[in-house]
Amino acid sequence: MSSSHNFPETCSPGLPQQARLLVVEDEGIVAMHMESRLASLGYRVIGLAATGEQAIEVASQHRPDLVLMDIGLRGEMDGVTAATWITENLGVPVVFLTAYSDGETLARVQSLPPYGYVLKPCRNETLQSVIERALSRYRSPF
Amino acid sequence: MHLNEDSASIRTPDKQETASISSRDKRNLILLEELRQTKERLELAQIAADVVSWEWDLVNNAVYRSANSPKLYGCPDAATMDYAAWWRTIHPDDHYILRDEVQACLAGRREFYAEFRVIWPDGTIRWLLGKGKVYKDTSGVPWKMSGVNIDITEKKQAIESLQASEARLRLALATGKMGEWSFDPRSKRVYWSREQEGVFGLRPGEFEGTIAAFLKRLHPEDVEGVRSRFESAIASESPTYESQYRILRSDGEIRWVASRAAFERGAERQVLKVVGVIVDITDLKNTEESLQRSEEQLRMITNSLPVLMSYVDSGETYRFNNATYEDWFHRPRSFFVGKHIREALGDEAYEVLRPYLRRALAGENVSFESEVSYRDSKKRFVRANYIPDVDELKRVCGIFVLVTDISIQKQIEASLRESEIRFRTLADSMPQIVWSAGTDGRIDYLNQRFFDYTGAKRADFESIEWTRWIHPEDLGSVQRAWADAVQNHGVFEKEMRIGNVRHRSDYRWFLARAVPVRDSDGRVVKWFGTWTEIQHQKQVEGDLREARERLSLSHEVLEAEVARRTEELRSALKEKEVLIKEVHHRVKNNLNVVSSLLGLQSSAIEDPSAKDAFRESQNRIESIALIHESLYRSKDLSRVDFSEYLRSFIRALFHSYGVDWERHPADIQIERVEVSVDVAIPCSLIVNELVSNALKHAFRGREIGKISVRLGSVGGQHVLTVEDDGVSFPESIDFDNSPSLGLQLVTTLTKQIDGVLRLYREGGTKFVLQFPRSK
Repeated sequence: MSSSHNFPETCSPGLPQQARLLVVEDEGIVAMHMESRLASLGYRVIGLAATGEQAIEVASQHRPDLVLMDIGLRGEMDGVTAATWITENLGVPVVFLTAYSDGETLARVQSLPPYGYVLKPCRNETLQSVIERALSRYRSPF
Repeated sequence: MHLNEDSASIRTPDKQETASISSRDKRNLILLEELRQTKERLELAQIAADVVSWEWDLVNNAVYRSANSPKLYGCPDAATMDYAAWWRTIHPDDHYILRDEVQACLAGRREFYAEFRVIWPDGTIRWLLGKGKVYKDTSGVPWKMSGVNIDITEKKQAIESLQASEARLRLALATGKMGEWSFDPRSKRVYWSREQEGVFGLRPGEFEGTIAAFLKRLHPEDVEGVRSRFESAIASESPTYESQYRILRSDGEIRWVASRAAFERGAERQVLKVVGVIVDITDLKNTEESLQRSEEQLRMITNSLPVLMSYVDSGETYRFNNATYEDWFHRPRSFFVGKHIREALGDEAYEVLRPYLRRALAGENVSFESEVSYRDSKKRFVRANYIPDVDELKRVCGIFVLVTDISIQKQIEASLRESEIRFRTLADSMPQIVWSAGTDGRIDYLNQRFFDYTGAKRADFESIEWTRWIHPEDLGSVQRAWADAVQNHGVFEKEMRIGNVRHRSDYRWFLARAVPVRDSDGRVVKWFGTWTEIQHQKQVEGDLREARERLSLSHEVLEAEVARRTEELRSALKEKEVLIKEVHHRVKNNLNVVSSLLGLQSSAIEDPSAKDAFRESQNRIESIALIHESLYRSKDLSRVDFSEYLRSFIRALFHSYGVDWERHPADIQIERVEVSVDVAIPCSLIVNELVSNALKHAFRGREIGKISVRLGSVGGQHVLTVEDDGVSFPESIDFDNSPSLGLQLVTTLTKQIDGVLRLYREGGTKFVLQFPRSK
């Protein structure tokens, strides 16, 4: 499941408030399900990445409004490392998706700019509120 | 030069005289008779006066002596002795004088007069005076000598004594040890010369001149004796007085004096005056005493020595024997004196001793040891010394004999020799090398085993150091240890190699040991030691050491192997753990994928109940996925920290039902328990169903209430409680036979974990699940 899906920006012509999201998830079906849920919530998923490297590449290329990042990724780079790079270099907020929280992972996540995290499984409402909070903080940090 | 006796002078008148008698007849007969009587009287007078007459016929060389000759010569046949026999009686010292005198007389120079000594057969020496004259014929040739002998021994002795006493007197006067005194009985005055005062230690004129003053200067014990002797001398009318006594000098010294006095008496024999001399004889007394003492000591020593001491004359006759003779032979000493050795000791003993006696009598100092069988004593082993008694003319007069009994010594020597032989026999038969050494550490004995082993010869050993047989590498330490032991009298113990002298390479190991031998005073007198071969032991020790080394080596190899294998196992385990983790991770991911698939499928469904069914299924699958995640994060991969799991899981479940956890958190009180994966999955599904049930039904149409989950242990059971304060579980529903899938799952899973589920409906709903701890 290393494939990535790039969606042309023209693909979702819509409301200017429609946020552009990048989903980083190494399980293709899980990513697909996430994309479906986000779409049902009115977000535009501009790409899916399966690894940290892909995430940096796609984010650099398409400059999403937000990245939904799975922490445990296959490959050399894990989600936390990739998220740190993206936030610092591209100024894009990242919301972590994690199925399970252990002390160590939480400590790493909390050291990053407080854009939030979502514990899986989660209801759509929860997902949406976390995304919105992150987007609003980024847009108007003051 | 020969003298004759003259007992026959009557029968040998002058020839001329005989002719005149025959011619004058009767007148002559009367004269003859007178002559005979005169001669008879003369003869009687001679006998009475102990005068021996003699006549020597020079022409016929015959001697005539009077019948009383034995009185002077001490032997019964003295009257008939010829010249040679007579000459032998003369003391050798007087031979010269006598010969000279006779020659002078015969030469007509003077009449014969000589004082000489004769020795009686019993050894008595007597002084004789000889007087005589020579008769010559008409042509002046001597034809006869005649004369007399008188015994003058007493006179000679008196003269000698007088001479000695005169000498002493002279000496005493010269040395101031003599004084004079006198006593006048009428005035009772005593006069002392200055010398006399000197003898008493007084200054001239200090003596008071009374009898009392004299007596107070005598030794108290002698006062009475002096007084009584003096008085008895006066009373006895003796012309002289003599006494010896002790005086007290003024300086306190006690001295011996001899006093002599002469009494001058009047017509009535009364004493008119006493004149005397006093002589200090202390030195003489002391000399006498010390002589007596030393003689006494000598006698005691001689008699107390356990040796025979005797003097034997040249005729092999005992002259002196000490008291030991009495001890040895059980006879008085008088038995031996005067007896010939053969007679005293017996023939058998004499035959043994004779050759040595002969040598000693020939002037040789003889020492010998011999076994002698004495007649009156047991057989003895003796050591004897014969020392010849030689006079100034080198003649052997006798032998000093010294005999020691060395029987016991000989016995000891013999038994010592025997024990030495026994020791050597024993030592030679021992398998060890046995040796002994003196206190200086030099070896003085080695048994046969040493010579057998080293190939050395006993003769070699005298000249070669024993260290020659020791291996050069061991030599230094052995010598040091030995020197140390000898110096400190400690025990010597050392292992060393000893070789065969001919084959230097053939060395074998020995254990050398030595102990000091001490006498009764604890002094070390000898060393006794052994060398025991320990070659075999050494070999075994070496083999053992090698075996140990090999063992140690194998041990190390084995350890390394174990470490390697352990490391392999550890890494294999690690690989396996990684693999298991990976499997759990994979399972979890797969379950997530399944959950997503259900989610994707449900997004196309419009029917709300169908959508709920999908969501419930998704929650069930995710609860299992969560178990796998917990597993791969756990340390042991087979057990789950169930308390930690439940917190995360319930929180996620709340999220999935859209309950704001921040506002309505569940009351979770969970003890820390670990359960196996077999229990964890059913248990989590049960919690999923019960909590979901509460979230779905308890608070329908109202604000969400309190949901509490508790997990604890009671006895051997885990107790899980899920409780809410919402609407009570409907009485109408029998949860054991509910058509609801959720409750059917709960019932089935409770059975699966051997649990018991109870439902309580007071003030809400309360499910209590009990299941065994071991599960």
